[in-house]
Order: sequence, then C-alpha cells, then structure tokens
Amino acid sequence: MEIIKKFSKHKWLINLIMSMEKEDRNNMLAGYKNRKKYYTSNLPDFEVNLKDLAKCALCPDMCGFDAPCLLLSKKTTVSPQNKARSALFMGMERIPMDNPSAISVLYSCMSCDACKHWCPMDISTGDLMVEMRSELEKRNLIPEKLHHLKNRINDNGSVFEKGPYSEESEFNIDMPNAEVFYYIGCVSTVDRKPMVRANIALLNHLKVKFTTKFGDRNCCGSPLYKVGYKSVAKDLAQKNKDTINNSKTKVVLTDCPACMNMLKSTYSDWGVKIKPKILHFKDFILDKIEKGELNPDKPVDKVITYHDPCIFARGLGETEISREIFAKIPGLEVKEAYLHGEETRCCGYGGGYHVTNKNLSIKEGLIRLDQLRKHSPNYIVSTCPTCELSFLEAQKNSKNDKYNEKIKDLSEIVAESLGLNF
Amino acid sequence: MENLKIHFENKTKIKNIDQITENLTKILGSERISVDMIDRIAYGKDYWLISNLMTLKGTLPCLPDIIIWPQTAKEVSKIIKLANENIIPIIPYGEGSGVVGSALAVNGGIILDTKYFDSIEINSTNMTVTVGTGLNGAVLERHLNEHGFRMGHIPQSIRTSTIGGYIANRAAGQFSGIYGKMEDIVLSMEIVLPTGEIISSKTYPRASVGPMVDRIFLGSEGTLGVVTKATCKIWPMPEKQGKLSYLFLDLQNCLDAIRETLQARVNPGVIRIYDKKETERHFGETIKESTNKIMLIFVFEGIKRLVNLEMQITSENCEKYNGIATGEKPVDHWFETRFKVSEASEFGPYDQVMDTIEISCMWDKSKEIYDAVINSLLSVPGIYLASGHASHFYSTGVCWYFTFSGIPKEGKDHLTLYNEAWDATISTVLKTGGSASHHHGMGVNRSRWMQLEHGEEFNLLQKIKATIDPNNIMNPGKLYSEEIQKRKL
Repeated sequence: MEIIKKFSKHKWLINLIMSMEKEDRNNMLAGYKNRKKYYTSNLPDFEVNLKDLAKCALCPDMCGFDAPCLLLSKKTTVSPQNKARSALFMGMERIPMDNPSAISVLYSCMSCDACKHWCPMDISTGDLMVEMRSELEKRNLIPEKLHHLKNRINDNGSVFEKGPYSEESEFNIDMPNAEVFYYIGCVSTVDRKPMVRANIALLNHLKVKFTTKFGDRNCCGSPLYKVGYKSVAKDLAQKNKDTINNSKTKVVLTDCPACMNMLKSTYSDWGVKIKPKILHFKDFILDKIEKGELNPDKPVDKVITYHDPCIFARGLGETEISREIFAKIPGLEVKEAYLHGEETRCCGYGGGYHVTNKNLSIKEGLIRLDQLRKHSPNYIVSTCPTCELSFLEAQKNSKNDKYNEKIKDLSEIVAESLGLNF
Repeated sequence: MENLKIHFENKTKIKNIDQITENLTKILGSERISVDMIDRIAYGKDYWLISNLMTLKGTLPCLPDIIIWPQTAKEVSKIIKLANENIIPIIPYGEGSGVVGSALAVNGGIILDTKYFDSIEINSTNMTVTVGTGLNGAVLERHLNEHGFRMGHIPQSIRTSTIGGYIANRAAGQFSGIYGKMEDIVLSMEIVLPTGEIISSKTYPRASVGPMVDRIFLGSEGTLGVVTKATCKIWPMPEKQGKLSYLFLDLQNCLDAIRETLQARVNPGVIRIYDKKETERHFGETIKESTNKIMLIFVFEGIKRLVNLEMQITSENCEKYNGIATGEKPVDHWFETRFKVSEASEFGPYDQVMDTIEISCMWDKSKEIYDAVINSLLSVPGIYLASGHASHFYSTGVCWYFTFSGIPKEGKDHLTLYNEAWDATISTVLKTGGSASHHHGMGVNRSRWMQLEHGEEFNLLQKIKATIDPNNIMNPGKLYSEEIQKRKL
C-alpha cells in the first residue's frame, strides 16, 4: 500500500493503521488518496508547489519571531504562514490572481530564508513567493513599479539606469583569452567600487591574468528572477552561459553571493550549465592563503563585526570561511553580533524588497546596522555588496552619531593586510 | 471573494462603517487602519485547529470588519470610547496562535492588533522587565538572553505568540516548574478598560492592600480590556542545566515518583511524561528500549550545587518506584524536537480531525481521569487515536494533555466528530473533578463549559463583565453569556 510505504519511517503510524478497525482504516486511506484535492489548481499553466504552500499555510507561523517583514510591518497579513495562505487561496481560485492587495502580499518578502531556517518542514516561503511572482509574469500582473527593471535589462544588460558595463567603466579589463573571468556584480560596479578595486588589486598581486569584460556579458538575472521575471532571467542565463562557455575561462570569480548562487545553482536548476568553476572571492582568497600564495601579514589593528549574508549563511549553510580568513590577519579582533552565522538578520535589500517596500527596507537596514554596532567596531564587514550598500544607506539615515564605523568588504581587509594600494 | 465561505458569519453589520473608519483614521492616521479584504481574511482566524480544515476547504472561521494597529494606550482609549458609542466589538489580537478561537471575531467588529506595543525595559536590580504586550515571546527571550537574563516562559508557541496572549490566557510554558506560569511571572499591568479609562497597577513584591484588581485580567481572554504593558520577573541565565530520564512500566508508579519529588519541594524546570502510545510516537525511533513503556523526562536549571542535589533526590524517587534510568538522550531528543510543529501541516490534508486538549486535576484523580478520558475518546465513533502526556506538575496535581485523531464515519461531518470528541473529553473531566483547561483558555471552543466549570462563580463572573464592560464590546461571544453555554460550533 502506498501509505504504508510512505510512512515506513514512522513505525508508530504503521502500527496505528494496522490496529484500526476496517471502516476507520478505509476512511483514512480515502482521506490520504484524496489529499491532492486541497492543493491542485485548475488555473492554466499554474506551476507553483501548492502542496508546500498548503503545509506552510497550516502551520502556526513557527518562524514568525524571526520573519523580518512581519517584525517590521507588524501586519499578520505578511507573516510567512499568511503569505502562504493567501497564495494558496490564489492558486485555488478563492482569491483572484489579479487582486492588488494579494499581489502586494506576495512581494512582502526579503527572500532571506529566516523562515526556512526554523521550519520543521524545510520550506522556504521566500522561494514559494518567487514562484508565485513568476505566475504573475505569465499573466502580465507584475506590478508596474517593477517594470523598469526589465526595461533596463533590455537597454543595458543590468538593472541600473546607467549600465555598469559601459565602455567608460574604470573596471573594464579586456583580456579575451584569460582563464579567470572576474564577473563583477552590478551593485559592486556602481556602489561598492572600493571592494572591486581591492579585488582587482588582489588579482594583480597574485599575478592572475583575468578579464572583466565579455561582449555579451549580462546581469546574472537574480534581481529579475526574484521579482517574478523568470522568463527574462532564463534568457539572461542562456546568454551568460553561451558567453562564458564559449570563452577560454576556467574560473569565474564573483564578488556577489546572489550572482554566485544564480550562476551556480539556479542556472543549474534550469538546466543551464556553466562549465567553468564558479567561486566567490572569499573562497578564492582562503584557498590562496592555504596554498601559501597569499600572505596577509601586515597588522590590521581594528575591531570588526561580520555580517553574514543570508545566501551564504542560510542558503548555502556556510558561515566559517570569512571567519577563517579573519583569524589569519594579525591584529584583527572579531566581535560577533548577537545574531550571527545562520541566525543572521537580513539587511533589508533581499528579494527586491528595496524596490517594492522601500521605507520598510530602509528601516530593516537600520535595525541590522544597530545590531552590528553593539560592540562599537571600527569596521562592519561583509561579503555581499548589496548588504554593504544597505548599511551605507542606513548610516546616512541613522540619527545616532556616536558611532563612526566604516563599512568594508572582506576583500578590502585582506588587501589592507597585504599592504596593497587600491 | 465569492469563493470563500465564512463559518461564524456576522449577522449584525456595522451600519455606518465609512464614518467609523473615518473617525478611526483621525485617531490612527491612514497607515494603521485597514478594511482591505486581504487583511480581513488574514485576521479572520487564529490557530484553533479545526480552522485548518476550514482553510483547506476555503472557509474562513470569521471575517472582522476593520483591522487597526494602535501604538499607544491613549490611542487604544480613544478607539474604545468610539467603539462604545457605536457598540462595535473590539478583539485584541497578538499573533493569532491561540488554539481555542479566543481571538476570532465571531460577531465581526474591529481587530486591535497589539504588535506596536513592543517596548522592552530591563531593571537588573529588581530583576524585572517591563514590556509592551504585543512583543513576541521569542523576541523578548532572545533580547533577555543577549543581556544575560531569561524570563523562562517558554511555551511551544513562543516563536509565534505575544506577552499579551500569555496574560490573556493565563499561559504556561515548558519550564514553568521553575519559572512559574504567567500569574507567577506578571507583577503589574497597564490596562485600557472597556470604557476607555487607562489604569496601571503598582509593581511590588507582594502587598496586603485589599483585593488585587489586576489579577482578574489574567485569563480574561480580551473580554475585560486591553492590557498594553506588563512588568514581569526575570532571572539570571542558569549556571547548570541537568537532564534525567526514566522509563516506567506502570503509569501510577511514574505519577507517584513525580508527586513525591515535588512534595519534597524539589522543583525541576521541566517534567514530562508520555503514555505508551506517545512514547512510541515521540521516542520509538531514537530510544529503542522505550517500546511499550512510559517515558519520563526532567530538566533542572539553576545553581550547580542545587541542581545536583535536586537531581539526586529525583533519581532516588524514580528508582524507588521502579523507574529505569535512560540517560540524557531522550531529553536531548525532546530539546531537538520541541518546536517542530508539523503534524497538522503533514496530516491536515488527509481529512483528519485532530486536536489536543489540556486539562488539570488533583493527584488523587490523576490516573482515574487519564483512563476515563482515553476511554471516552475512543468510544466516539470515528476516533481511532487517543493518547496523552503530562506537561506540568504541582505538589498538588497534574496537567494532562490529550491528543485525538479521527475521520468521520459515513453521514457525519468533520465538525460534528470534532465536537463529539471534545464533548466526550470535557464532560468526563468535569464529572471526575478536573478542570476544563490548564493553559490554553476557553475561547469559542470551550466557552460552552464555563458555567459547568465555574458553578456558582459563573453568575459573579457575568456581573463583573457587565460592570466593567457594560456594552459588551470587548471580545463578545466568549466566556460569559447564557447563549454561549448552548452554542453549537
């Protein structure tokens, strides 16, 4: 019997089923067989995992205490469970797909996976919301305030108004036959230039031959995918694959966790395989230190607090590499924020939240900045240009003038310890 | 939203809703009020378990008319006065994790979300924390832990519930054996009365100054006013945490070992026993020797020397009653799984009717009530699972926590089976001398037993309600009326 097989790990349940009266057992089996009626959509071309939405919708919100959108907005409507319940009702045609308030609920999520971290069923409400948003794309229901993102991609290959990969960019290093491709993130190019300079200085210090420029290099597609433009993101994936796989590249280096996750995991889920190895700079740096090729031996006499980006800490479950690098830098003292590692808190910019809910996103950045400032560090350090941008913005919005920390990327700290000019 | 049905449909619509909304907007501003259907759907439920089946079937438990998010007690006062003038229900709402429908707007009205009341102020000399009642329990505990303290109120719902919810339901947490229940933890409160006055009780260790008025608000389930602030006891982080577990063949032996331990004034933070079925369910896969036995676990917290002594006395009592020491592994397993609430999500779509029912009784009835409730549940046609564990203990008695599951037989609907299971349990408990609820409260589900539970006190409770809330605007449809005592769900 299917049910016996399914629950073979739960011996108690098998014992219970076997001990039941025949009528009860038949009723239970009928309930089991008919379960899909509660999560089968009749909407044409509807592909969201309604089973997971139903599971999430039936939970009492066991992740609610750590769900930033709920904590910020104070609205039960946008708790993970209620987002799932709204989405379930939409999928089951109980709430119309074009209801503007229901659509707004789908966008009240930072994709930070704090929910998944605490979920006993390992469900990411964020992923489900992204799936729901792509249903909106199919039906031309993506909110107008997001349309410009798609238009910009068509115009200049990035989500920024002025393309970061323009000919006049200071980061254009055109070495077509190089084996290392430094895939600079959009945000890095525009808003985190010191980090990009540090990375370039590191590569030059290692005498690595690298390029940052390919003719048809495009945005990785993450910002578009997260807000619902899945088909556009898939087109970008295909273009990036063709560009990279047709080059001499053996290693793609990224400075952005979102880019890395797209190139490595999401593309792969879509059947788009990037052949070269894909590394984030922190992985590359630790590898070079361990091989003795990088020797950051100049003291950096600073107190730092490290902010774990959600994608690394929760998405990939990786929290130690940056800390291992810090431990090798003389003079550096790391003071951890109370919420760190897998319990990190979102910077407020994830999942397109900064575009869809700007004021709350800024508030979230301020909350996280305050948490990171508790030990009055000299530097707040991260490994994500978007998190760093959020904290830079939060510093501008902060009314608290007793702090004077600088926002840095890990690469900048390593470059400082190597005595590099950047 | 014609595809959504409403279970508790409000028959009396607010006549001048546009005017009411406009007046509320004047008090709150436009950002902290909503009449949007999506918000009303979200706030039209709590975690009353039968409403999960409603969600799957596209039925809303109820549909409030307006949702508001006040920030100050003064705003609450103005809103309550407005509601009195227009006789509109107000239902205080924290995070909606109550399991008996206390926060359901069964008569429509205004949902008053308390989440903006989230202040935290620690007094490390007095060892108190003064908190806004809309604060999430886990957010508070995390904050206290960061500063070296804990309140120790750790219900399974801590990640999805508020301080106000704990007060409203006289809640109990998993570590209540050492840190107490909410009535032990709360020292004083700020309350907005149903007629708009704001009162604050004084914070003192104890006093003899006449009746303590604020105590009546503990367990009032939002029917007597809105508690906006509370001062609670806190404690230092414990020096040692000790763990013990024992297996028993006989339930009475297990109960006697606990009773003698508590009556010797030993206070474990956590004591939990699981009957044979629940032991199989919770520990069968990890503790192989637990087959067909009763699991008993303890957690002790405090100063190392004291914890060591408490563990020694507890072990002696367990061994005296033939307990088999099983080490720390079962306790570790409990720690790992205690917040993993997934059964309702996993099994809900299989058309199951399921729920848990917690009750309390004195020691001399403890075994009798357990046996009687299990038998009465299993006598309900369609119920195929009835089991129990006990989660809170006193020198005087015990809290039993029963679980049932079933599927209606032909000709019956889910709600009928649900009601029959509850009727069988509570009538058995009341007949045997137990109390209808230990810590979940009464809500829409249990209010029909208020009169039977309270006996002659019930009339006095009705008078108190009528005096404090003359227009019956605070969370109506719960606890007090004659009509509720006869209500069919």
